[in-house]
Amino acid sequence: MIPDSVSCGYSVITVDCRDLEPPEPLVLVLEAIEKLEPYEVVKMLHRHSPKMLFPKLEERKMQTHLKEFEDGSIELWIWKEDK
Amino acid sequence: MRSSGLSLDQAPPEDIPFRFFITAPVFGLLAGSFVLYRGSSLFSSSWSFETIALTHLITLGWVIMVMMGAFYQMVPVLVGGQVPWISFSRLVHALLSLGVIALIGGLLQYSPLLYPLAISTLLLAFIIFLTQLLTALFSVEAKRPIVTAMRISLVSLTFAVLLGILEIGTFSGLWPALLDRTILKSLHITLALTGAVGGLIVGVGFHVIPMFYLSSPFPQQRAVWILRTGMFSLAAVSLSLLLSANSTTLLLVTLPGVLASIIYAATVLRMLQQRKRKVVDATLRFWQIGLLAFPFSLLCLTVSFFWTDERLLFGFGLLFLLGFAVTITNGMLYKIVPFLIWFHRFSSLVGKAKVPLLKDILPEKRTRGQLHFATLALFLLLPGAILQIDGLVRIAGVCWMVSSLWLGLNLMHALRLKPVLYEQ
Ligand code: HEM
Repeated sequence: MIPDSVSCGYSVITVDCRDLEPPEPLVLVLEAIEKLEPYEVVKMLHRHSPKMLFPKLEERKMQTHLKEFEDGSIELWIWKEDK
Repeated sequence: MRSSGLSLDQAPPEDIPFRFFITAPVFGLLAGSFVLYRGSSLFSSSWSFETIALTHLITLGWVIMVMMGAFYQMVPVLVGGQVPWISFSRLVHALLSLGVIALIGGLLQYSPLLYPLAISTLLLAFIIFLTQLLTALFSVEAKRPIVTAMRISLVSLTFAVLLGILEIGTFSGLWPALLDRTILKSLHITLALTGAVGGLIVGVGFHVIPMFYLSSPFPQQRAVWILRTGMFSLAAVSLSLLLSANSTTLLLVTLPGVLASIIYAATVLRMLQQRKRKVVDATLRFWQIGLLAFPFSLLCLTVSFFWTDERLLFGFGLLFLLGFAVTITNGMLYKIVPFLIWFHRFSSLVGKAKVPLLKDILPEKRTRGQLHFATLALFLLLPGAILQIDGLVRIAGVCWMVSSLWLGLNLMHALRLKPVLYEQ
């Protein structure tokens, strides 16, 4: 995990799941989310869209933004719901 | 930052795929017992009703059973299709289970009432299943090869089931024969095995091999070529059979399909060889055995066009069904079931409590022993059936029973795991 800073004041926690087998990507992202502060955002990198993760994120009332690339890989941004 | 309106594709309730998955080993156990009981006589003529009964214990009782559970699970999750009337899937399972038993009973001539029962239950099961899945699959975009492969599989299954029902109706005297028995049987087998079973396994492989084994992706262009070639061969073989074409024509239209199967198997085997995580587990071995059996089975079929020897047909049937379809579905169950248990029962606890890993849900030492029995059953049955060595066939039957029972117990072990129990 490499935390870096983004301009809008959020801290980005990068969770790179490209070399992990199921269900490790889900475990890492859900663990990161449990510890997430309101000023932090998780950036998940994965080989494909993590379809099974979305219901779990909704269960935890998280906001998401998905970017899909030509080769099928994705970047998923996750943060806490705006109050 | 804005949310992009993701489609929240929901997995079906866990009991839906699980009820199909846990039923397969029960039919495996029945198939193994039948082989033990009847021995090599089951492999003397493919026209014998006992042989047809054994075939359907495996094809409907095991292969289609697992495939249905997998379709219900994978279509929403892997391809984003919404399966309508999902609770009817429980009825499909009950009807299919009853239908297989009635069909086997009918073929073994226990009672004349069993054929009509088999026809009505199986027809209803497949009508519901195919309506649900065809609706789901034809309402998503076919951008990815897995969608095309699933469509080929379901369309082939539709025709295969119709032909099977047609033949059972004729056997039971409900209606006269509409097609010559040899043509009908060859068409039924081609569509059911290479189209429905082959299509699904090939398509799922494109997707799950990179996902589960961290291999490179299956080359997209090659996947498209394999599917197009397979589809061409399937359609051309079906047409040639209908028109009673000669052996040379059959060979010419079959060869592209055989070539596609060789390229598919070679590509996946190479992807597995070059996977990032060099762990060797039972599921990997199941895939490797299955992938080797696949092209060899089709080669047996091709040779049988010229050399009409029943042994070649049994070689094809055994390699395709036991070597390829049963082996790969067996391996996949070991990947899918622990994952679904983890997903449905433990994922909500991540970050809050200790959750088990997949290898805690189904330890490798349990699966490896079963792999050995499954492999032994295959390697004993092949020579036993082809060379008509009765003792070997019966020992293979016992291995098959042990293997199925072991698989069933392994799945039960995983299914019994609940968060409360785990925390104790
Ligand atoms: C409703 C479903 C089905 C029915 C009623 C049915 C019925 C039949 C019948 C009556 C035969 C004997 C044909 C003959 O000898 O004239 C047969 C053969 C066969 N069927 Fe099916 N079938 C069904 C589904 C399937 C499926 C799904 C598969 C494969 C996945 C399959 C694989 C086979 C094979 C391999 C044979 C050849 C068996 C042998 O030569 O002993 N069937 N089927």
